Amino acid sequence: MTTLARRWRSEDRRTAFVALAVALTIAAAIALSSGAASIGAARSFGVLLDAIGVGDIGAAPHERAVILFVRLPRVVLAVLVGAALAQAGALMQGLFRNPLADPSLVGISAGAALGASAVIVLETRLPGLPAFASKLLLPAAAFAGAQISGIVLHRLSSADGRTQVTTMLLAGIAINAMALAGTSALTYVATDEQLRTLTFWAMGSLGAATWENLSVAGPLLVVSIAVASTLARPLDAMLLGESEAHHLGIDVERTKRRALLTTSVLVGTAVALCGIVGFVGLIVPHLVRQAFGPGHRFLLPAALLVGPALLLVADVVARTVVAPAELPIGVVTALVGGPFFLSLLKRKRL
Amino acid sequence: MTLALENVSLRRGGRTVLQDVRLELPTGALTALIGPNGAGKSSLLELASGTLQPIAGSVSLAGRLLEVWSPGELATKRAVLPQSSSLAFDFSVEEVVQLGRMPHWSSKQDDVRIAAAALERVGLSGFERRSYLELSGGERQRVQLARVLAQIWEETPNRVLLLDEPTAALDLVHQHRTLALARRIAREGVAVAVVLHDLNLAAQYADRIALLDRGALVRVGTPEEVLRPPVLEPVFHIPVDVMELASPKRRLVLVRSEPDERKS
Repeated sequence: MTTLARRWRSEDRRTAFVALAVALTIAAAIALSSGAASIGAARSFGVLLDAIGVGDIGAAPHERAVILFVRLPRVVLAVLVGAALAQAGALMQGLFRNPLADPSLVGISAGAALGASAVIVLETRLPGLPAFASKLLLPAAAFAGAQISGIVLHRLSSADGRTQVTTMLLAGIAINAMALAGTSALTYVATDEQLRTLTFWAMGSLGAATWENLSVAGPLLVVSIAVASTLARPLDAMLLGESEAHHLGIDVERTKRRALLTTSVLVGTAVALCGIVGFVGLIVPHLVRQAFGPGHRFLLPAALLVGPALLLVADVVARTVVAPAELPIGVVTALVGGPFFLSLLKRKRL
Repeated sequence: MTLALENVSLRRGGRTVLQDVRLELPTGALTALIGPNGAGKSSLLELASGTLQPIAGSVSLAGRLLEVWSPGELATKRAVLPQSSSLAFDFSVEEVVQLGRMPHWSSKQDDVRIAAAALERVGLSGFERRSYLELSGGERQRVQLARVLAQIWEETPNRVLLLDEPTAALDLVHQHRTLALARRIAREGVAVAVVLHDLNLAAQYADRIALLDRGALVRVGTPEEVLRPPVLEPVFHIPVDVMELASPKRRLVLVRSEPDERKS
């Protein structure tokens, strides 16, 4: 007889949330205090307080520069992207009613990557764009790529008001292949300089952490995460099946449209900021489900704490294992996520 | 009358699957839908549950067309148990049943209490913390039944319960327990419709039987009226004997020969 004894009971979930928030804070503190310049955790925190005018620790200008313009934006970027990818994974898995569905698996990430690659390679051939438009072009193209992949996927696999999950996953494989072919073609025509950008970016990197980038992406991500939180109840019903959700009074088509759109914004923005960082959307929801169960009212907010923590830790690893050089963070998440995915496949015998 | 299908027709994939069917599901009665494969039983249930729209005719609940009801309001009145469920996520049994409370926005305490009571009705008390995915097919089907019972738990007028072959995954004992429960639910003031293949289960538990054949309603009536050789034989194309048992009074439908032995 199997009970779910190891799972947090609903009355203890508040405690669990506090524990997750503490873990995230610790991860952020570690990330903030590790790097080439030796500025420890206490000193980093002191510099932060100093900067907002609370207390004066006599921080040196270089310390302020490192903390405020190198490490802090990077921590914020890791938090936002980790939250976005974990949330997107949870949404896709609810939408496809399959715990292995991940934006990168069904071609959403690849679509976003194609859109972003097109901008990187073709931008220089466009007539001069104003600087702010050019800043927006990358996330917009990535979003468009993600959304087109999502819509094609939806059209192909929906008939008679029902979604064929198998068809959807197979269609995702095909879309993935096509988008990757498109990205490869763009890589082929890219100049040497663009090629460096493309390669670095295709492996996933948090190196583009600047306040300027974050000011564009941050609000987009915060709004989509807020929209996603309204989908918790309908997605719970969808897990039972689409007709079951309909019988529970849920507007199934609207839920699917919103989930797809939100996923596209989250994935598109994350890909535009730091390329393809795979497996976060697979690992995080899986871990959270193990602890809290599959209900989205806990899954979605918990993923927002676990995703950032995971990405912060991965970034610290990426920056320290081959220091002073730095591994692309996508390599780190793939090295962890690949075996994780395979072990899931083996255990589930899918 | 609670749920009424007025002269409904339905086309699916270019084929007419229901033609001009008129059927009422009265409160307090268990109506069994019987007929050969492809007769339109499940399609009729899908019209009643609003997953499909008729090309002609109308479906109404308590005298109001289904389109007029808001989806949320409808979900507090009408619950549907599909033939099989494809839930692939590891909810606990209790969580699955509580999903049935979604249309009500009732308090967590109420939902917990009602879920426990619904599980008790289907004979799964003590299963609350079990993992749904670790249950047998029959137990899962009973958990789903508890979920739809929790959905229309409170005594309100015009409740409807639609069950599509609820006995398919169940063993002998639970086939009977499930239908006995469905009949008790009907007696509590719910209009219950059940798609059944087993004519003897229909004979034993149904108040009314609707016999469908190739998209048309052949006959509606009491088991005594419908379960007669002159009514059944032209529909199922097989000779049957109907036995009347005296005590307790009930009928038994027996097939006289194997289908492949008859000519034509």
